[in-house]
Amino acid sequence: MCGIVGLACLPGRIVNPARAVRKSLEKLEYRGYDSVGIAVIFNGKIIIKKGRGKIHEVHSKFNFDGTPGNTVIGHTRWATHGAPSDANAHPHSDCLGTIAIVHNGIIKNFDELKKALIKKGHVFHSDTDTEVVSHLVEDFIRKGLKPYEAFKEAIKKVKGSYAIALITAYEPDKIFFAKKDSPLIIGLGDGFNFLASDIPAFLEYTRRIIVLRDNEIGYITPTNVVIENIVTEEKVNVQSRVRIVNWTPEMAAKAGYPHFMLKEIHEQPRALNETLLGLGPEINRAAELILKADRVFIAAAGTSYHAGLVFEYYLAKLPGIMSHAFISSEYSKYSKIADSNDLLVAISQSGETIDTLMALRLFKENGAKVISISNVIDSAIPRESDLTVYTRAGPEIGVAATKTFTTQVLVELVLALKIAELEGTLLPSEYNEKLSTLTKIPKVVEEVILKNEALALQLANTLSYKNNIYYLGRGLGVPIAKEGALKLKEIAYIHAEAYPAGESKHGPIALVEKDFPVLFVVLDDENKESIVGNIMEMKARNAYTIGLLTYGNDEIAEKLDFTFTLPRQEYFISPITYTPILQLIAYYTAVKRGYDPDKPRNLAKTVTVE
Amino acid sequence: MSLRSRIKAVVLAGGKGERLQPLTTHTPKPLIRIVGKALVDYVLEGLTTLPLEEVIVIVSDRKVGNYIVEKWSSKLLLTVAYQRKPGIEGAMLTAREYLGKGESFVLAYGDIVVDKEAYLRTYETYLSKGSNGVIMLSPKIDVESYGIAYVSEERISKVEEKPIPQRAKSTLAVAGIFILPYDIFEYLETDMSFTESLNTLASTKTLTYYMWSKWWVDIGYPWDILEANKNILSELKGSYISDKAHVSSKAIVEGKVYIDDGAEVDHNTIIKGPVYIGKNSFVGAGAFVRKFASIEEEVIVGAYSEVKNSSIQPNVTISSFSFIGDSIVGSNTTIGPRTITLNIIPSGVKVSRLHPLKVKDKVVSKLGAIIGCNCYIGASSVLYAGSVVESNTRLKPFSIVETNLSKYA
Repeated sequence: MCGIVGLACLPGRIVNPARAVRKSLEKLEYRGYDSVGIAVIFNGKIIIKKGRGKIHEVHSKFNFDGTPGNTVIGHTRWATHGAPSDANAHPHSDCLGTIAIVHNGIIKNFDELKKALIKKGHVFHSDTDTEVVSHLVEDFIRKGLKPYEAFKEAIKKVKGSYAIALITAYEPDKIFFAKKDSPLIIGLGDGFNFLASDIPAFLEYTRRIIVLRDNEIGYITPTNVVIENIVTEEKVNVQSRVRIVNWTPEMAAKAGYPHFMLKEIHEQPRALNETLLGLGPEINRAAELILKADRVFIAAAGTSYHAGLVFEYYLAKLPGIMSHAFISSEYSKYSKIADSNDLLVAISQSGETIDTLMALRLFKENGAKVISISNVIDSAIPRESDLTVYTRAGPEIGVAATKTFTTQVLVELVLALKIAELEGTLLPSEYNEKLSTLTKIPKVVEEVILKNEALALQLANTLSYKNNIYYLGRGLGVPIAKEGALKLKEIAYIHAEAYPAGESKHGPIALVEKDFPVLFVVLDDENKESIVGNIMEMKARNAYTIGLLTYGNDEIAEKLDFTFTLPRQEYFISPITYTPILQLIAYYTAVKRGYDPDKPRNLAKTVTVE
Repeated sequence: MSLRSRIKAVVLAGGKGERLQPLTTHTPKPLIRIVGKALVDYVLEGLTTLPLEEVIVIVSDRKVGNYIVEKWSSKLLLTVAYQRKPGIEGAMLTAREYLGKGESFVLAYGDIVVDKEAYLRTYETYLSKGSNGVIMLSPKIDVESYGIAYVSEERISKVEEKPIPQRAKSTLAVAGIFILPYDIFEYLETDMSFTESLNTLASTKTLTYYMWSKWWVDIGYPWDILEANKNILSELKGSYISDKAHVSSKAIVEGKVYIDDGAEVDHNTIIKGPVYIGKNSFVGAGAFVRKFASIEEEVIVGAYSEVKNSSIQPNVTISSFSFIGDSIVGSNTTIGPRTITLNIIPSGVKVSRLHPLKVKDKVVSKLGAIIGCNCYIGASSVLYAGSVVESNTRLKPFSIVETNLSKYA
């Protein structure tokens, strides 16, 4: 995800167009914030100012507001192709500096296009997929096409998803645009027109909008809008598409959902799919590093720590490797232990978690190697790691981690399977078979969510009146239970504790009385029979028993007061498939209790203080 | 550039309300009272949150038309039209005549109760998504009694009407608030059902959704009224006692209550909220009105009677020493003294959408009696849980009415 903005303006109609674009970009910062840039046309020339960092950082360096010109485009970036850097920041240009482009999306065939363009003598300045478009347009202009025709021909060659805004010095009052699978909206003004990834970007200036649809292409000038469909080549009746918005800006970003958290829970199938598609040779290198190490430690905090416990389990059960997961803030305990033959796996969604960074530094100082798992490209922890495997969940705005947890687990699972294959625990055929199971996960998660959403809401009606709840599981079910309990604590403010189910009779069960809710994570693994015993002992104390289990476990379901059912599956994918139900339970319980799940009290998304 | 900043809305308030029988024999469904308002008022109030050009209400009963015009014409630009052909499809085709060709419009079912924010959010989704249409969805466990939507990649991929629970792979109910493109009429014209038309839209255009995560009630069955009462009363922000009401200084009023104009609460009465007591109603000495009781207008609750979690429709008299729990009493009915409703449904009796509760280690379904309009229940009668008394029935004193929910199965 990235945010783009374009503004074409009659002189003086908006006092400082570059400043207006900078302020619009600030409204889009939720879409990405690792680098930022603007391009303007002034006196027939293109001026580009861009750099790595947050908007206010780059602005204080270049002073965006002081840039003259009445045709402006801007971009705030969430890196996917190419690390965040000054060169990779948008806008991008062509060889002659007569074109500037901003882009949100992924151009899938950029590699082949780039090779062909390099053969023709084009010189690239960045590692981005975006830059190919500006060179393509340049190429068609050199062949004698007019800018708009050249732009259309270029877009026809591009595969993937995009919202693009492009300016050229040849036609300085126009901003060309194209849209497919990434959002793009036109804001209509009097003597100016905007383009942006989301409505709040220009709400300060206009409330008349056109939401562009896939395959639409065209251009804006200060006084005109032209839209056509690139496939059918039909012109769009612009007037019929104008809508007026009259509401609070925040809503647009989460359109379709009352809260970011619910949106992000529902985004999991897509996030998992993109994470899986995004994995490359770094998995092999990470697997080799882990195999080479004497000892493997895993450091993480919060939800990521639960992902760490899952990884510990995977390593133990798939290749059979001993590892140790610990909570990052406890790193000092290992000061005499860490040595140069060790390997640390640091897991952090933001890549900025200070505790995890401190743990990483301790291990590095002692000569250990570090692999990180992160969702933010080139953030602090990845920068200090020897190797990073990225999840591709996209920005997560809800404070409670959802899609980043399941994608972290997916990465860990692929990694553990790879290690098992390299080590010989898995035959190549078994490995491939298991990998193909993984490609079905997004569909399974989608099914699980659709089938269980109403049940979660129903259960929330009961849980919202409770003060305590236990989450119990065995084996791989333990970290799942822990993650479920954390979610309920952090957004619904209900005291929730998770234990290995076998541990309950060593203490916790003393608290259980009539109608005390106990939730069981029942997996199709070797522990199923034992967990039935735990259910019975809770029932004997009149607990209110809730269970998550797969189809075909009717005998267990009959013993429970409330059940969620999932498709039959290999038990090792269950942290990815079971957890969304626990996220939904926490979400609906918070809503039922009247809390805002996106803004839990006392919590911040990224913890950068010890 | 010319613009349309406003949109028209269509409200479907026709139909007979057969699943709500016997409550709808004398009162058309849209006028059933829920916490002091008619059912259709909730929908129209929700629509006031939108920038509307006009509201077209399709009705099939003159009483409904007259009520809406009288109550709402000063707040909304209204057109009331009478439905000519049956079914939702018939109502839609009637509505079409009042819409401009090619215009997208808001469609609202006239029988849903939900916070009015839901209308605004669905409309906002339409504005910002740029899709051809938006459907509001609400998660519901009883899929067999709703239209169910499948979603994928932020789009609606399919809609299914009342699926068999075992086969349904989604629990997201189509929640009665839509923004639809005019194209839907082309499909309806060719005799497609409403569901088929939505599916055609989903496959040929982009249909997106708004996911509503708070409570939402579709008034289909009598007990849905209790569900709506409970939700509305739970959200009372504070207590309100009208200046024109009279509450005895010796009455005990606890919890949140709404006591409307002209209501009278007599000596030694105990009111434990959340409770609603409607206009000009009278609660006699020593009566006990407990949580989630909604006593609509012109009702008499006799001395020493108890009412809890029930909907008492207008002009009902409950004579002294009665117990009315988890029940719905239709308008103009008189309940003789010492009438008792029982409220635990025998296990094995299953009806749609009635949620079992856990009561003292047992899972039970709680429902009292469903009593129609214009009835007379003789003194000292006992109404079993889930008993249904048809409208205009006269029961002798000491009558016993057994569980009979088969018509709702």
